[in-house]
Order: sequence, then C-alpha cells, then structure tokens
Amino acid sequence: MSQNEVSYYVRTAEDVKKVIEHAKLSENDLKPNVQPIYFGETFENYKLLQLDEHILADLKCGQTVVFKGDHKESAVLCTKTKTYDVKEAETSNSILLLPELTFPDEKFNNTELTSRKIVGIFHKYLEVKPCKPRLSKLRNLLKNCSYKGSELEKEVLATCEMYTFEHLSAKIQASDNELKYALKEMGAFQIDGYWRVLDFEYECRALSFLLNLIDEQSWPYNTIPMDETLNILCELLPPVILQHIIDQYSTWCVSSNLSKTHRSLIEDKVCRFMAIGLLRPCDKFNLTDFKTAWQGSVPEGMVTNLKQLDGTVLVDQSSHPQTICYFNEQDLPDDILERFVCLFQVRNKWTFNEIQPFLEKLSTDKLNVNTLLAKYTRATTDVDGVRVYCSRYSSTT
Amino acid sequence: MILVKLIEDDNGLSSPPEWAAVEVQGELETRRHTPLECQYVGDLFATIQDGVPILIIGHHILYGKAQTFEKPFAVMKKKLDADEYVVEAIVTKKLLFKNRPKPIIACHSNDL
Repeated sequence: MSQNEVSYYVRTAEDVKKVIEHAKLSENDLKPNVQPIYFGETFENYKLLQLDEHILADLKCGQTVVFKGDHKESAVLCTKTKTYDVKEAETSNSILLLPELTFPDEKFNNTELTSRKIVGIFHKYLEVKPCKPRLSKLRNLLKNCSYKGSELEKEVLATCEMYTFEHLSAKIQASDNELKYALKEMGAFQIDGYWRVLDFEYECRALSFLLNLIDEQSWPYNTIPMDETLNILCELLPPVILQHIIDQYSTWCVSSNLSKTHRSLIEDKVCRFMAIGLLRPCDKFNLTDFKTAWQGSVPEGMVTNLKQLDGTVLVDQSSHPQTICYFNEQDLPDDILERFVCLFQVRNKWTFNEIQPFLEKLSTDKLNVNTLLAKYTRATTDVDGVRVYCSRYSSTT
Repeated sequence: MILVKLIEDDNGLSSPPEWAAVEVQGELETRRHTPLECQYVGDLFATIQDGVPILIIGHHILYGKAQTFEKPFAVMKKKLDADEYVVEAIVTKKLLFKNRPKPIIACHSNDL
C-alpha cells in the first residue's frame, strides 16, 4: 500500500462483539453504549493551562487573564486581582483530550457505536501557583523618571521614559489591583496621566515647606487650616505637587466641626520620612545621637519611636556604641531566596523581631514569617538564650 | 504580555465547552510507528454495575475510574496573528487508567 492511499479502519458492531468475547467479558454486564476511540485527523497545537477556582471563575465570566514577563523574567499569570507563578510541569502519563465523551455516570441511550475523537496527546501542562506580585522593577522604573521640581521637569520629560497605568500593567508582573495598591503604597501619583514618584531630595524640600509653615504659624500639627495652607504654599509648589504632599502626609481632622477645613499630619509617616532624611546620607549613625537629632527634626508635639522605622532601618545593638543605618525593605529582591541571601550578607544572625519587618511582605496565608524562617534558615539559640536565625549555607559561627 | 481570552463570536465572549480527558500510563504508539492521525485506538466500555470504565486497546484491557481533576485545565490555542491565547475548552473530568494494562490471550475454541 503506497503512502498516499491509506484507508482507515472503521470499527463495526461485529468487531466489538468479538473483542468482548476475546476479553472474556459478558455483554450483559456492560452498558449498551460502546465508544470506539480514534485519533483525530490533525492534532492542533494546544497548550494545557492548569486553573484554580479563581482563574476558572474569572475566565467563565469573560475576564481576560494575562501572561506577563520579558525574556529575563520567569512568567507569571495575572487575573484582575491575583498573580500566579507559571511553570511547565511534566507527567509520564499521556493525557488524551476528547471533545466528546460519555462518562459512565452520564445517561446515554444510543445503543449504536458512538465514535469518539482524540484531538491531542499531552505530557506537559502549565502549572500555576499563587505568588506575590513582583514589584522591584516598578520602583526602578518610576525612580528613573522621578519628579525633581518644575525647573528640571522639561529635561526629565525629554530624556526619560514615562509610564501610564497601561504601560506599567504590561511591564510589571502584578495584577492590576495589586499594581494599583503598590502605586498607592509607594506614594506614586499622576502628572498629566503619567505615574510618577517624587525624587527624595525634592520631596524633602516640598515637605519642609509645609512643616516650616506649620512651625512659623505655631499651628498644632493635628489642626492645620487648609485654605490658608494652600494659599500660602501655592506660591512655592506646583498645585499637583502641593496636593500630593498634603494627601501623602495628612488626613482630614476627625472632629466634625473641623473635618472639612482642617487637616492633621500623619505622625508615623512624617517621623519616618524625617528619619530617612537623616540616615540616608551617611553609612551609620550613633544610635543615641540619632534619636536626639530625629526627635529635634519632627514638628512640635510629635513623638518619635523606633517602631515607626520597621522595615527601613537596621539597629546594631551589639556594637559599642550602638548604631543605626538606613536599610529599606523596598530595595530588597522580591525573590525569597535572593532576599535571604541579601539579608544574611548584611548580618549573619537575626532575631525574629529584627528580621520580621523584612519578610512580612513576602509572607502569604500559607507561608507566614515563621514558616519562611523554618524553610529557608537555620535556627539556633545563642549564649544568652535568644533564638537567632542564620543562613543554611554558612558555616556555624 | 500574552492575553488569554475566551472565544469571541458575534454575540461577544462565549462560555467554553467542556471537554473530557482520558489519562493512560506511558505512551500510545502504533506497532510500525506510523503517524497516529486518524488511526483507531480502542473501544471504551462501562460496566452496568458500578460504572467501571473499561478500555480495550489491541491485546490489552485496562480498568479505570472516572475522576475530577483537582485543578481543571484550560485548553488554549495560540492565535497566529496576535500575542493571544484563546481558551477553546475547559477540562474538569477524566477517565484515569492508572493500572498496568492486562494482556488478553486470544483463545479460539478450535485452538483447544
């Protein structure tokens, strides 16, 4: 038989009867509907994507899900609200796909043979696992085009790439909801439709205009008249920046007679910003000196507290004198393993309270900080009976 | 960025059909390694009692069971003209034949 005149075998009722007999089965024990299975004429280039109930529900109601990642990144799948790690999984079994097939528990009255077609054979599928959004790239993109003041804006616009939400959504491995939340959390805002952050030095300048005004007028930091503030500061700052600084560092007063006219500075945020301003320019700061300088830098009435700096500083209590330095959680890698490498490079032993602020953002419902520590570090008890965590890969010190 | 969408017809997005899966151990191949397309594979039966699926392929008989995938699958096809996958079907159920196939020894009355 030559290759191009292949005639394909078709099953008959006779053949089926024979095979039942050969297999020593009894026709009376079997349901009358028999389904001979054939391979289809062509195998389409399908891919199997594993789903969880959220992705399935989203797809079913017509929402688009998106694979994101450039060539250097491992792919993620994003729904509107969640991000998933995507990995190709292999199975030694063959998974055959059939568009039509009657399962044993389904009613089917046809007693004739019903041919079924296999349209694909699979040994691989894409496996999905919920993961944290990967946001370090977002910070870098926005830092590169940060707002440095009206006098420098022309140059920034001419030389730097600007990003709308759609641009960021395409580039950042996060769902749209997670991206919106991250933008809000990092204090990003829009100028002419582009998402921007303030350059640190510029933000210092802009915030100090506000703080100096409060100081000059001797307003309590929790009762600042807004009309007056806006009238005075609009001479010094562009309206969009002024509004942003006010949104970032204050909230409307709670008491009902002031709730539309007066705002209150957010103590923790202002204190943290002032601390970063002091610590950023230097490697290390004597802890006692720092505490004095810090308290002196914040508006009258605010109380500084090291707890406000969780996740932004490292305090070295073992050195004499004790020191503090700037170390921001936001600058650490998103990848858990890489993050632990960084953390153990900075310090080879951590107590739970010290390391917790640097891991919190990576923890999930299933993997809390304790589980992360158990999985990626070695716990020991040091001479003072304090439990400390060190790298699994370092020699014991 | 690659989108994953449902099939779009004139009425907008339509809910994908449900396809079935049959999972067997190892590989399916023809004796002479001829292409699989259009070839006959085997017969699928089900017992009246308990509804046990039975698959007979060549001289092998396989007993299986119906199962729901712990996590369902989307069957996607890449669009040629766009960075887009279209979900053509969803698979939530399978017939699993995980035991080793048993040989059928053909034995005719005139062989005895």
